[in-house]
Amino acid sequence: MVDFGNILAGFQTLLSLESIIALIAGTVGGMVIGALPGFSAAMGVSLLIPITYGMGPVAALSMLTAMYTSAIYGGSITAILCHTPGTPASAATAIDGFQLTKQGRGMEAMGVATLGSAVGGTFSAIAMLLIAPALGAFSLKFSVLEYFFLSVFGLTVIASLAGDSVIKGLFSGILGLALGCVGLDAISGFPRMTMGVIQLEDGINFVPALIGLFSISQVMSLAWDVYHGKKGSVIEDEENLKKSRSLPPFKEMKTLFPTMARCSIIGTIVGIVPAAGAGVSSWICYSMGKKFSKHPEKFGHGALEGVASCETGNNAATGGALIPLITLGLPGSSVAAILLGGMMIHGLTPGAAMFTKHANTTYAIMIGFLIANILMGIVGLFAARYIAHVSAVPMGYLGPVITALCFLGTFAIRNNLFDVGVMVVFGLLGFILKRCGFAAPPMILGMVLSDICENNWRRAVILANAKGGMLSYFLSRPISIVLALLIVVSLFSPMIMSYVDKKSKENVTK
Amino acid sequence: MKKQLHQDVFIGFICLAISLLVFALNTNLPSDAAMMPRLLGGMLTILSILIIYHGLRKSKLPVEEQGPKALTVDALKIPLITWGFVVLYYILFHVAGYFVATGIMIIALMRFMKRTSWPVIIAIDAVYLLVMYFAFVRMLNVSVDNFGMLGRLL
Repeated sequence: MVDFGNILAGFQTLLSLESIIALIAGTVGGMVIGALPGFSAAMGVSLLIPITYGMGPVAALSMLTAMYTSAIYGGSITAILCHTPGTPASAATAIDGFQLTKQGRGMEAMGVATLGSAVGGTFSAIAMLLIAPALGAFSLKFSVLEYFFLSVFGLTVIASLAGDSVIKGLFSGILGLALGCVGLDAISGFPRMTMGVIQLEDGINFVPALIGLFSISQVMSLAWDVYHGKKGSVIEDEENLKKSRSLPPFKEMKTLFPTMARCSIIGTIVGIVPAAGAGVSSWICYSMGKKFSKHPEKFGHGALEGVASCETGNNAATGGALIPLITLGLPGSSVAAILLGGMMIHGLTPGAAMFTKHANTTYAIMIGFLIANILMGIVGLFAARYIAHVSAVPMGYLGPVITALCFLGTFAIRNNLFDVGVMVVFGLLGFILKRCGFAAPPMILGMVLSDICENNWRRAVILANAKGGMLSYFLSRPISIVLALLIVVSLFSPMIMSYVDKKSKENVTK
Repeated sequence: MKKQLHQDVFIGFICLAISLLVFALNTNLPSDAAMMPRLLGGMLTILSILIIYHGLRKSKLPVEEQGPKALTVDALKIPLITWGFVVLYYILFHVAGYFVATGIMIIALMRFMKRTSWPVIIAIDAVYLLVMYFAFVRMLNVSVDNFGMLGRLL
C-alpha cells in the first residue's frame, strides 16, 4: 500500500535550500565524473562522502544518490561522442552511440541516451517508493540471527564484485572483514590488532580507507598513463555536432518508448539482484533490445534502439540496487556498498527503522533520487555537449587537484591527521591490489559489514544458549532458514549472472 | 620454451604472510574476542594457499602465455614516485598546514605530470585554494587552516 502521507512529508523535508543545492551539485558533479574516462561512480561517491559530513542526512544522501545515478549516465556522454566509455556501465552504449556520431547524429543519440537514462532512473525510483516500504515493514520481524544471516548474504556479493579472480576477490573481502575487526572489541572491550597504536583503538575509519583505495590509487594510475602517452578523449566531428538536433524526430522517437519501458522493468529487477549491477543490466537490456527489435540488423551500425536499451537499463539498475540497500542493508553493487557506509555515517541503519523512526528522512531521500533523475534528464539535454569537453582535460591537471581534495575531504571527517595517514597507506594498498588483480570493492564491503556480522552473531549465540542451543534456535526461526537458503543460492548467482552476461554479449556480437 | 614462476606465486606468499600476521596479532586475546579474527585468519590462509597453487599451475605455461607482469619496474616506478609526492605532501601538511602544503604540492605534482604552462598551473592552484578556503573554512567550518606552522602563526 502506497503511503501518500509519508511521501508528502518526505517531499516537504526535501524542500530545503541545502537539499536542493545538494541535489543539483550531485547531479552535475556525477555527470562530470562519469564523463571522465577512468573515473567511476564509486570514486565520485567516495570523494563526496567527506564533503557531506557537515550536511543533514537528507541533503547528504540525496547528493550521494544523485551522484550515483548521474555518473552512470555521464559515462554515456563520452561513450557516444568520443567512443570512450566513461564508466564500465556505458561500454554497450559506445557500440551504437559512436556509430551514430560518425553518421552526424551524435546529438540525437545523446538525446535518446539522456531520455532513456531519465526514464529508467525515474521508473526505478518509483519502484523503490512502492517496494521498499513493504520490504522494510517485513524486516520488522528480523532479530539478531536474521541480521547476522543478512550480513552474510551481503558478503556473498563479494564474489560478484571480485573482478577477474574470484579467489583474489574473496581474499580482498575477507581481508576487509579482518580490517573491520581492528580496534576495541565491542563486547569484551579488548583491543584487537591495534599493535599498540592508540588511534587504532577506534578502529579503521572506512571513509579514509575507501578514498585511498579508489582515489589516491587512481591518481597513481593516472601518472602512469601520463608517462605512457595516454591523452584525454577527443570529440568526434565537433563542428557537425553543433548544428545537429538534440532529439530524433517524434515519429522515430515514439518507436523507442516500448524499448525504454521494457528496459526500465528489466533494469530495475537486475539492479535488485545482489550479484548484478548497472554494467550487467546494460548488456542484458542491449541484448533484449536486439531480440525484440523489428530491425535487429541495425544493431551495431548505429541503432537508436540500441542506445535507448542500454542507457535505460543501466540507470534503472541504480534505483533497483538501492531497494535492498535501504530495506535490508544488502548492497547490490560496489557503489551501493559505499553508499551503505555513507548511510551509517549519517546515523541511518538500513532496516525497519528506515520506515518508522527515520521515515521522513528515508522518503525524502527516495523522492530526492526521483527528482535527481528528472533533473539529470533536463540538464543532460542542454549540457551534455559541453560536459563532453571535460574528458579532454589533461590528466596532469586533474591528478593533483584530486589529491588535494582527498586530503581535505579526509581531514574534514574528524579534523584528524591520523585519518589522512590511513588514506595515504590505503592509496598504496589500493594501487598494489589493483596491479596484482585484487578488486578493491570487496574490501570496502568487508570493512562495512564486519561489525554488523560479528556483533549480531555473538548476540545470537548468547540468545541461542538461553533457548536450548543454536540448532533449535535456528530451526525455530523460519526467516533465518529462508535467508540461509538464499545465501546458498546467492553463492551460485555470480556464475549464473556471468553466464547471462556472457550470453547477452554473444547475442550482441552475432 | 622458456618457463618461470608466475608472479601469483610470490603474491600468494605475501598473502600468506598477511594471513599469519592476522593470527599472530590475535594470539593473546580471550577466545570470545579472538574467534572472528582467527576464523578470518584461517580463511585468508586457505585462500593464500589457493593463490599459490593457481600461480604454480600458471607457471607451467610458457612465459609468453602467462600474461603481462603486474609488478615490474616500468609498471611501478612512476606510480610509486607519485605516491612519494603524496607522502611528502602529508608530511608538509603536518608541518606547514593544508593551504601552504597544497599550494606547493599542486605545482610540484602538475610539473611532474608533464604540465608545462606556468600560467595555467598557477591559475588552477590559486582558484583551488580560494574555493576550498571559502567552501570548507568559511562555509563548512572545517578548521583545516588552524593546522601546522601557518595555523600556529595565525
